[in-house]
Amino acid sequence: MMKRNHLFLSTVFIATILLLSSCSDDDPVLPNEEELITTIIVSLEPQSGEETLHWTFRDPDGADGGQQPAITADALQNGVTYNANIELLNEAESPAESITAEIEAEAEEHQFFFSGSAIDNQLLTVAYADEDGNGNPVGLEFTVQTSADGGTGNFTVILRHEPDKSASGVNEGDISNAGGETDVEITFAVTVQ
Amino acid sequence: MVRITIFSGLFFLLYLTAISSYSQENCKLELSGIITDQQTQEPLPGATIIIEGTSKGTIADINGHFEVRNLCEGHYTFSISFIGYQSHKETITIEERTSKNFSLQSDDIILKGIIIETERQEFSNSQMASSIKGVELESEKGKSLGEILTQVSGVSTLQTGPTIFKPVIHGLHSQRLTILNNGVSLQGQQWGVEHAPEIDPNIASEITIIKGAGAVRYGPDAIGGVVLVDPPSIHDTDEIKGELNVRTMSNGRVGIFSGMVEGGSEKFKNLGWRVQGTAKRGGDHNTPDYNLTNTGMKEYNFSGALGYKNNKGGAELYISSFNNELGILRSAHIGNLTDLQDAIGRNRPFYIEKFSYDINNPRQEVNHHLAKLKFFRRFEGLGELSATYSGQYNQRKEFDIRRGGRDEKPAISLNLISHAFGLALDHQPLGLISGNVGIDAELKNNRNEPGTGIRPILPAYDEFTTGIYLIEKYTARNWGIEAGLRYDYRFLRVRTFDSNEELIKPEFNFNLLSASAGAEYWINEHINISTNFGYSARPPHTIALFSTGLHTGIGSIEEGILIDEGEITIFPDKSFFSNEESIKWTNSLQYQKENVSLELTGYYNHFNNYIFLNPRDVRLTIRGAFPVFAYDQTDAYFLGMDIGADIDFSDQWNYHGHASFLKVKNLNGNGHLPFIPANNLTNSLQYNFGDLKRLEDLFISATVENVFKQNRAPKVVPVSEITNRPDATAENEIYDFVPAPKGYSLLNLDVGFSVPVLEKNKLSFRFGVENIFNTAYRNYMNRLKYYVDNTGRNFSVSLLYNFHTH
Repeated sequence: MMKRNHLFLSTVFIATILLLSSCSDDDPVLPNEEELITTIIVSLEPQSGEETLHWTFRDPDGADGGQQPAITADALQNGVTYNANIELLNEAESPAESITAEIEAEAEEHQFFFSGSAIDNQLLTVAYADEDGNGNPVGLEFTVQTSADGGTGNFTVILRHEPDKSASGVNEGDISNAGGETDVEITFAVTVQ
Repeated sequence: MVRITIFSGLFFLLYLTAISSYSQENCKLELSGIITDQQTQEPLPGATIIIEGTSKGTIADINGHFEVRNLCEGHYTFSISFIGYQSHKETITIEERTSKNFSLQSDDIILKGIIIETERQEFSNSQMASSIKGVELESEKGKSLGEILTQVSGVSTLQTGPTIFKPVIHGLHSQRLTILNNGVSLQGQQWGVEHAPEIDPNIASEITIIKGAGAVRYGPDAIGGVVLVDPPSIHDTDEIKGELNVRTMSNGRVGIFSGMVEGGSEKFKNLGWRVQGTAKRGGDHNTPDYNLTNTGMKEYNFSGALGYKNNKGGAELYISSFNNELGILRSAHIGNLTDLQDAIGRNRPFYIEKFSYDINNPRQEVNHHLAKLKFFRRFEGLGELSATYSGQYNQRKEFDIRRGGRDEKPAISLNLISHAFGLALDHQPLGLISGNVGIDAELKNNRNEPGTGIRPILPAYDEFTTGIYLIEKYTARNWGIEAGLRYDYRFLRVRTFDSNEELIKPEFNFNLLSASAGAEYWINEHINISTNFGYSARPPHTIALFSTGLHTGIGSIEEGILIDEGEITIFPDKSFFSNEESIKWTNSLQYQKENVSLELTGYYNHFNNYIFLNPRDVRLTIRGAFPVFAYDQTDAYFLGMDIGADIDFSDQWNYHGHASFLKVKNLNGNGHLPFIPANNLTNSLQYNFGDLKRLEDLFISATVENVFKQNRAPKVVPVSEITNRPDATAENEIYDFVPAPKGYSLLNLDVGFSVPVLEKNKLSFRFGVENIFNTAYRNYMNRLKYYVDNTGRNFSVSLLYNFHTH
């Protein structure tokens, strides 16, 4: 009988100690958002060697934040062909982390697609200028040819992760059968003058 | 010792099989007498006497005197029982008014028998409670808990593909339901719509569902209902007995093996033990038209129990471990709204591969470990006191499709440690009043495991809750009333980051009340009516307060009540929200006569400050546009009805049917609440061959399940409208991306029989086909309804071997 009471009471004590001891431990640390892309810079270098133009899309607080992204797009010259490349950065880190390198390392699993009214109206004509290990385009490098007349239009850049590059039209830049998940979808308001 | 609260013996026999009918010549006979304690000769007021296998009976009054009336001529086996005493059974022939006294032996005398009873928790008898056990439970072995519970009217599921099922009781789920594993309230990340309960239903010999507020007994998280998963009692026998179960299912090529062994000890007479385990493995399931690539699963569960009992009290140690890995449909993983629009527009999902057992990302890995230690002791004149400690460790990792070789790094890694301590007194009945009083305390610590590289959606928090409750019942001969009251104090401390990325530790204190009152009345021995009022309040869960960020894979942003435009409200405190309050009024009628049993339940559940996800706006990010859903509060009511019927037309033919109807109204007028189950109706006809040569209990049954279209679904806003015109949802009307799918009917067939093996053993065989017509359909309550159909035809073969050894 006494033994039973002891067993009973000691359980109460052990439980209390356990309850109290689980209170103290380390505070959480805000993690590095490793896959966050905050900034996209499209650099357009005219083939004639003049000054490089830039289109930038900056979304510093990502999906968590309500801040509207900042988009700028330098005007292009008509009748010119540009060599373009895309740079992706995580500027939430200091120094800024290059995401471009990660995409280059997994080139087979990524492809950029270009669309929008600027392409539909032939204001801009775009062609891929790079390849992954399987000979399929990636789109980190591409060429842009502006029309002889000027005009304005929308230019959308979509980055797909794990698209089906063998599906019909995908190699030519048609996103319809590509599938995969969208990692980037941004639109620039482009002017050609 | 058999603890039977006054009406529970009468109450739980809802769907009875027939008792033989007797000729209706003289049914005005009566059995009366006095029930006393064998040792002391003292009367036992409150002792029950019932006719075995029925709900007909009565309770002894203050003088121990009882009268069982309206008996027809015939033989009856009476069961007489009382708390603290060994039950007594006697067969009596009634041909005239008969007088017979009974005396019961106190449990103080050591008897061979049950050491640890099933955790028969004390709860209101006027609440709707339904039990799944015996053949009904055996036939569903191998399925998840959510699927098994749908046998009961008023219970449906919220599913995410073919492997994740969450129970929904009277329209309520997740944080509003409490699931008890052998009496321990399961603490996991229940808030998650894709987070199925971490419990193996194979541990159970009985599963009980309480379709009303269990909050008075179990605390604020039981506001919508309770599911009790109870293992069998531990016996102190010399023999070893158990069961082995093997089941295979064609859809998903699933194999399940589970077994349980229990026994006693030759050396220690008062000791009993039980061990149980389950292993389950499945691959990609399929719809009638295509494979559901990446819907495989793996599960390994184990539980063990040790029980000790002597003439004064006893102890129980119980451990349980649940571990699974689930693949999430590959095609359901999307990037942004454009991806969702493409997915909705497809006839077939994008990723369809050959069948495989491989589980790739996206996937979940869940481990849940539980330990319970309980002591109980009976004190003369006081009652039975029990003290229980339980500890749980829940680890949940979700792996996403990631870039840069991060597939093995979880995107979500949550650890939840809970400790609970309870003291309960089942007090000695005072006349016809019985009841219990108790104190509970619970501590929860939630942490995010570092190394995900993603900002957590649920912050770290510590929560301490303590409560005190009192439940009392007064039971007269053919009526009873009860009332319960509970007070809880909850302290919550959250550790998260403000808009300047500084660590803040907001604290909250909650005072919560629950109350219930009910009554039950037996109009005659066939009809019983009951009514119950329940009130309870719960604070929003930490996820509803602080959820931040993009849920990758479902492509939407969900923000807590204290989050505004992604930023934490500067002074997060209680002024921004209210506790959710529920008031539920349930009425039920049960009819039981010979071969017919019927049950009708109607309920009205009013909510103040009901917590739900409301679309707020659309946010443009570098990934594209995402809808933002904000946790919000509204007033609403749930009005529903459940019907059940069980009819034995003859010894061969049996009909069983159940239906449930639910209407939910959002009183703030901004649209229908999402994911409310549609009305449904299930009819089943069974033919019993009886014993055919060596085959025993041979039967064949057909079941038709009808699920109607949910006509009270949120309005549809197509994705194109959302992306092109972000203002489309500015009026904050609740919307969905697709209309509710049409209703559907499924036909299932089952055949079963058993074969006696050796002396006391039995082998039961069951063969079934679900969705025999391979109907293609979508279920409104499936989160994958945007992408794929539900599963197609499924054949299953199951063998259950029950054995005794010596």
